[in-house]
Amino acid sequence: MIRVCELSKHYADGTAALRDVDLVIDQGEMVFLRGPSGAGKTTLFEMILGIEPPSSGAVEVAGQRVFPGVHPRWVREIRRRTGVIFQDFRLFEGRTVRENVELGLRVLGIAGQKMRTRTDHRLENVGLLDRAEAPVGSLSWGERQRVGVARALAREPDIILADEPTGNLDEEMSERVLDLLYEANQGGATVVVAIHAPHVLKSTRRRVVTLRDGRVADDSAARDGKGS
Amino acid sequence: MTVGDLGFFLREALAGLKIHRVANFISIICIGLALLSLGLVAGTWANLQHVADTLRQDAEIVVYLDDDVSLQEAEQLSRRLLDHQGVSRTRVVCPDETLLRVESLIGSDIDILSVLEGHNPFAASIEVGVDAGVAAEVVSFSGNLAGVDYIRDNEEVLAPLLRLTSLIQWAGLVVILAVALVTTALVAHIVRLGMSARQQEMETLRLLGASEGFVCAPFVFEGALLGAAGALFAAFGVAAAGGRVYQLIRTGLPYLPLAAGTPLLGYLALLVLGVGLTAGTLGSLVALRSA
Ligand SMILES: Nc1ncnc2c1ncn2[C@@H]1O[C@H](COP(=O)(O)OP(=O)(O)OP(=O)(O)O)[C@@H](O)[C@H]1O
Ligand SMILES: [Mg+2]
Repeated sequence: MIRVCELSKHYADGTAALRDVDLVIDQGEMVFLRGPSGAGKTTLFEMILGIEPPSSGAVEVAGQRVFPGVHPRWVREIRRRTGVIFQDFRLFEGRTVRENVELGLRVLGIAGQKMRTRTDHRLENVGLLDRAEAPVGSLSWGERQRVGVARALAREPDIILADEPTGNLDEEMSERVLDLLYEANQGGATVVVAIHAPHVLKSTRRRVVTLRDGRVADDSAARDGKGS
Repeated sequence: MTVGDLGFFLREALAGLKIHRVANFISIICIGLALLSLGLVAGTWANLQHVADTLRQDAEIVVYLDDDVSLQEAEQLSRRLLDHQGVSRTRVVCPDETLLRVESLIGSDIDILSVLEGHNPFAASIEVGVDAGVAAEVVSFSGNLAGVDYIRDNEEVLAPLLRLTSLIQWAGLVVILAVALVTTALVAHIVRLGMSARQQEMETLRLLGASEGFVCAPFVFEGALLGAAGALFAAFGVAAAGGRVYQLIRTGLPYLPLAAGTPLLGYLALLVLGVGLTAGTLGSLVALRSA
């Protein structure tokens, strides 16, 4: 589903965010991406979404090149098929919780009753249905994060890119969000989760890829002798 | 894009306009005033055109006869003129009638005959109705008839009127252009302000896979709404001012042939709305292009 080939990213200020990263994530797979702060996790997501162009290397999603030789239409198509939980949430400030989730559906052409039902369902999932009409500006960081989770999941995407989706949540809510991601994965979505939480990483039987200084330092799938 | 989307874009546009509420309200007034001046110029032009058309339609030549021409001779001349091709009617105006007309023009409190010591100084004349196309021909034909003193052709009145009409027509075009440009520029500026306030939101929408059309549509609606709101203001202004001016002219200058008020004011309202809507939409597109 996601194929990254010798991917490098050097920012203008000389920072090497990614160096020769090779990574293949199959359709329907769920992968945890771990690594210290600044390891390049967010940068990798940005390349997959066509937000930032790589300095060299190639990115392919669903069999289509994102880089190099990117076609804006295809980038848009990937973004439409993806549910992204941004590390910085990227909520629509000045709008209500409900509007934030609904807008994520509207851009896909989903409106009316279908939009409202899905929104209610996902807000219920993350425990925010009773805050639906509150402006996101009035929410705590954890609540904002959950709006981001609800917005991504409501789109019922083929691919989920979750960048620290539990970073601001208590243990119980973290579990709940992770369960939602597992559930989406069981429904067929390819899920990539950038995460720090040691207790999650220790107990999971899923593939864990470790980035360090922009390189793949460890890949549990390679150790187990499956995948790449 | 669906019908539901249109409602959404409209709500978004309205919400966007509420961000700089006061500034936008003032802008709408400015657009309205510009469009109002356009409507008034167009209305003036339409009426002058109408006056010219009316005068042209029953173009009239007045043939003044020599003092010594008798009424019988005048009637003979009248019949000869009526035989001329393109002449629709003729009528002999006897000196007494001319005197009466002058009296009524001057006012009834002066007894003009006593001033003139009982002597009527006017000669007979013939009013000749002609098709506008052959007026010049009839003028030269009459000039060659014996007993004709001089000829007054309505062209003399018509020519400066037509010059004025065409001048106003040009001025009107310039005003339309200026108003359209000002409106476009103003709307472009406002929409750009709105866009910069929502830059981040637009970027997020793109990250969620929104098409450019989806991202930009609310701003197009915003411009169209600004133009339409200004135009509505102007349309009411044109109707009110137009109605008042008509009333003044009808009582003050009743013989002035005005264009029928009801359809004209309707056309003016449509013109103003059309220019406002077009310029507003254009302004948005300019803003989106230059963003
Ligand atoms: N726009 C940018 N310009 C310059 N350097 C950047 C830019 N974006 C990211 N970097 C740098 O690239 C490196 C990788 O950043 P990235 O955000 O991918 O790390 P991360 O693994 O997501 O970290 P964290 O766990 O803190 O979110 C960092 O050193 C960061 O400072
Ligand atoms: Mg990060």
